[in-house]
Amino acid sequence: MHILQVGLSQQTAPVEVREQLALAEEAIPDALRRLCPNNGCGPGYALEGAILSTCNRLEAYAVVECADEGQRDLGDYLTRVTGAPQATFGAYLQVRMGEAAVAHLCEVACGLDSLVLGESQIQGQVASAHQMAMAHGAAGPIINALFRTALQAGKRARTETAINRHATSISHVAVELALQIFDNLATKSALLVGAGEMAELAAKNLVDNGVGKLLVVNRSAGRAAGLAKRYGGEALGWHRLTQALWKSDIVISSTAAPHPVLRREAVATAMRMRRSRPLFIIDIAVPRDVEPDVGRLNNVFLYDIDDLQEVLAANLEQRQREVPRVRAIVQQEVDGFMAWLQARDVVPTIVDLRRHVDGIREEELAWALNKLSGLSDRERRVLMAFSQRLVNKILHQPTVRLKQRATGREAYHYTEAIRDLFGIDGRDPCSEGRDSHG
Amino acid sequence: MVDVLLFLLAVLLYALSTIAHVAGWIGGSRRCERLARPTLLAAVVLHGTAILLRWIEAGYAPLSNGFEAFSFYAWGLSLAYLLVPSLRRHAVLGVFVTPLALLSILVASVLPKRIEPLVPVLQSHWLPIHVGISFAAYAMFSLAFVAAVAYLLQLRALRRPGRWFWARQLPSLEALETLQRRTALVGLVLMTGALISGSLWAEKAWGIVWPWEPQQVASLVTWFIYALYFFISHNIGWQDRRGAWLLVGGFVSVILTFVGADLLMLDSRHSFLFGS
Repeated sequence: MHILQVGLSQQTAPVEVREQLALAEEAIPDALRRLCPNNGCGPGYALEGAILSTCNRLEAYAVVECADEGQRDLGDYLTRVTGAPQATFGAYLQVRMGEAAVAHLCEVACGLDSLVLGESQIQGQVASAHQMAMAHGAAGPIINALFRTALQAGKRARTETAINRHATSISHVAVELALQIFDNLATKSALLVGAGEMAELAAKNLVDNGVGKLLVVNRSAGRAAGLAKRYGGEALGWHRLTQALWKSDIVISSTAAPHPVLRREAVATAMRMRRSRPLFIIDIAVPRDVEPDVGRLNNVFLYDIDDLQEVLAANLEQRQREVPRVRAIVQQEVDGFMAWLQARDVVPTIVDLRRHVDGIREEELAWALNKLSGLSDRERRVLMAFSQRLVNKILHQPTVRLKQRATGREAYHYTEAIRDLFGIDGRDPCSEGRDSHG
Repeated sequence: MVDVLLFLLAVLLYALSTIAHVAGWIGGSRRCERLARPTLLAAVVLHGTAILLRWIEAGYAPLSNGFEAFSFYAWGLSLAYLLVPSLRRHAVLGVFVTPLALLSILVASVLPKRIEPLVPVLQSHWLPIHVGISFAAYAMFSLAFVAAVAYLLQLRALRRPGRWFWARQLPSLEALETLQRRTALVGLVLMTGALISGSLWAEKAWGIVWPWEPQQVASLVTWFIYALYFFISHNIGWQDRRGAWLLVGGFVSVILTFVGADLLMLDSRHSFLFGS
C-alpha cells in the first residue's frame, strides 16, 4: 500500500497548462467518486483519495496498492476528469510517493509552495479538500490522518514561526505601518486624495481594518461622492483639501496630477492645527502627490510607493528566513505520520491484533479466577492453558491468512478490516504530534 | 539563610526570563515568548517571599542597605511591570524591563547580604513608608523610561521602512505615548509622596524639614524634570521624540538620585547603599 501524489502547481507548470487542468468546484465530487468509488471497494483508481484544487494547483492524493500502476493510473485519471490530453501536461506532472508525498502536502499547507510564501488561505483550502473527500466517500483512515497531519503542520507553522507574520501586499503594508503609529484605527480619520482604483483599494482596506471615519477629496466631485457612498465616507470638494487635512490622521494620495497637490506649507499648517498629533501620509501616485520635504516635518510619517515596495521586499525576505523552521516542523509531523502509517502494515497489524485479543483473554481469565475461589493449582493451570489455547486456535487462521496476503493486492483491505472489526485503530498521528511538541 | 537561597533562585529566574524575552521577541522563538512572562511571575513570587522572610528575620523592613535596595528595586520594577494592565497587551516591553531588573539584582547579589542591626536613624516606622513610596516612584519612572526607549526605537523603525524589523513589533507610537504619560504621572504623584514623607521623617528625626541632603536635592531635581515633562507635553505639544528624550533624562536623574548621591557624598545621612 502506497501514498501517491500527482499534480502540478504554479511552481512547475505554466498557466497554459494549468488552465487546461483546472477543475471547477462543482466537478470535484464527481472526480472524487471516480477516483475511489465506494471508498476503495470497487474498481476505482485508488483505495482512498483526495483532490486539492485551487487556482494555482491541481493535486490528487491517493492511497494505492501498487506504486507503478498507481502512477500510470493517476495520470490517466487526470486526463479523464479534466478532459486534457496527457501529452499536454505529462511533462509538467509531478509525482511523489510515500514520505515525499506526505511532506509535500504538509509544505503546501504551511504555504511553502505558495506564490506568496506562507500565505494562510491555503490552509483553508487544504481543509476543504479534506472535507470534500470525506463528504464524497473518498477519504479513508489514511487520507484522514494525512490531511490532519498536514493541517496540524500548517497550524504549527503559523503559530510557532513568523512565516505569515508580515504583510505581503502594498495595501496591507500600509495598514501595518498605520498600526505602528496608531493604536486604534477606530478613533482615526482617513482622507483619500483622489478617487481612482488605488484609492478605492486603500479605502476598502482601511474600512476593513476599522478606520473610524473616511473623507474623500477629488477633482471630480461625482467620483468622490460615489466612492464615499460605497464605503460609508464623506465626500468633500477639492477646495476643502487643506481643511480636510486638519481633521485627518491618515492620508492616502493617489491623484493623476502632474505636480504635487500637498505642499509643505499646507501640511505644516495642518500640523499646527492638529497640535502635532501624528499624521500618516501614503503617496502612491506617480508622479508623486506630496512634496518629499513634508516627510521632514515633526510627527509626519510620509511614505511613497518605493518605500512601500521596500517594506514589502523586506517582509518577504523575513518570511524566507523562517523557512528552515517551518521545514523542521514539517519533518516532525511527517515522522509522526510515517510511524503511524508503518504500524498499519500487515505484521504490525498482526502484533496489534494478538496484543488486543490477549488483553481480553487476561481480563476475562482474571474475572473467572476471581469467581472460582478455592481452585487447586492444577485447576488454575488448566484454566489458564485453556484460555491460551482458545485464543491461539481462533487467531491461527487469521494470522496465517494475513501473512499470506502481506504482499498481495488485498493487504490494505485485510488490515483495514481487521483494525476496523476489532477496534484497534492505533494512535492518531496528530494527537501524538501534539503530545511530543507541547 | 532561606531568604538568601530564595533570592539566588530568583536571580536565576530573572536571568531565564530575560533570556526568554530576548529570544522570544528578538530571536523570534514563539515558545520562549510564551514562557517569558510566567518565568518573571515565578521570579517575583520567589523574590517577594525572600523579602518577606528577611523582613520577619530582621524585624525591620529590609530596605536599609545596598543589597536590600537594589534587590527591592528589581522586585518593585518587575511587579509594576506585571501589574500595569496596559503592559499585558504590550508584553514585548518585557525585553527592556527584564534586563533592567536583572542588572539591578545582579548588583544586589555582589553586595554584602548579612543582616546587621539597624542604625538608629533608620529605626522608625517611616522607613517602610518613605522608602516604599520612593521605590514605587522609581519603578514607575523606569517603566516610563522603557516606554520612551521603545518609542524612540519605533520612531526609528518608521523612519527606515524595510529595516529595523525587530522594532516593528513594538507597540504603536500612540500606545507608547499614552504609556509614557500614565506611568510618568503615577511616578510623579508617588515622588511627591516620597518628598513629603521624607520631609516629615527628617522633621521627626533631625528636627529639620529640609536639611538639603544631596539625595533630597537630587530627588527634587528629578521631580522637576517630570513636572517639566508634563508641562511641556501638555502645553507646548512635545508629544514626540523630545518628550521621550526628556523621560530618558528623567530616568538618568532617577539613577543619580538612587545611586549617585550616595557615591558622591559618603557622609550623607542617606548613604547606606554601599555601606560606610
